[in-house]
Amino acid sequence: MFMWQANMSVGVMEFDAHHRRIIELINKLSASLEKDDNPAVVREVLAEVANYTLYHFFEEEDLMTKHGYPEYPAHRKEHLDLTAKTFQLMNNAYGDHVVIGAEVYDFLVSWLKNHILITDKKYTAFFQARGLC
Amino acid sequence: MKEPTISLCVQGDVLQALRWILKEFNKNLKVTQFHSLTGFESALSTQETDLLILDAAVSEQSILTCLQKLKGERPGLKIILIVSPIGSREAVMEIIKAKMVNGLVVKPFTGEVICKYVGKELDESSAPEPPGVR
Repeated sequence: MFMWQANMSVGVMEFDAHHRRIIELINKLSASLEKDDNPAVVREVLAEVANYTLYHFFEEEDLMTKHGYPEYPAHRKEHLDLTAKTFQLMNNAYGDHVVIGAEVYDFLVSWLKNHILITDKKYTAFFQARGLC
Repeated sequence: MKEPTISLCVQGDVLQALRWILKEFNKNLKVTQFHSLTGFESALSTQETDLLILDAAVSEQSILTCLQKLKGERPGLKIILIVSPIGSREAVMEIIKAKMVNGLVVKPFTGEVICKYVGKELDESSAPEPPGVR
């Protein structure tokens, strides 16, 4: 199970809460895969992960543009790349004989860990200086 | 205080779910439904809306073209777009890149994410009191 840890805090409470929720949903997806749930159920959970992640991206980007975060273009590119990949995963999951495998879970965990620990952490000092942390 | 108004332009399969979610979210929301985008566009001149929840499936043209037209006529219109998980990935990515919508929801969806977007887009004053707070 993937757990949120204190070293993952990005300083902005709202975004920490989003990350925790995304991790919960990724773990829900893992549990669904382990239980060998019906593909329709797994797809629903995958959509739940995708929807919450997209919502989080919109929120993060709004705050970045509102405050003129200088790393915004590079950060947004990472969001766009994951969004495109997520849509590809969902497209694949709707094929007639496609089984959603554990590699989807592994991909999401690895992406989120790297994104939080490296890319998101970069904005901590910036938002701290603006009293948002 | 003016009641926040949400316009729904969605397919029948999600209409009831959305109505229920929005009612649970805030009973004071004024929700208007349109069966087609043409109907919504016609009403735009006379009717105010704080937020449009649009199902890409109701669009007769490509959703990208429809959004360009809508934003051209009403640049400040806030839109939450609901899309199918299969199909026109490229169009969806174009829409996100061009920042044509304020939120994107993939079917099937839960009430959680709809409420998050609606709460964000409507004025703070229209949000309901958290349970237990007086």
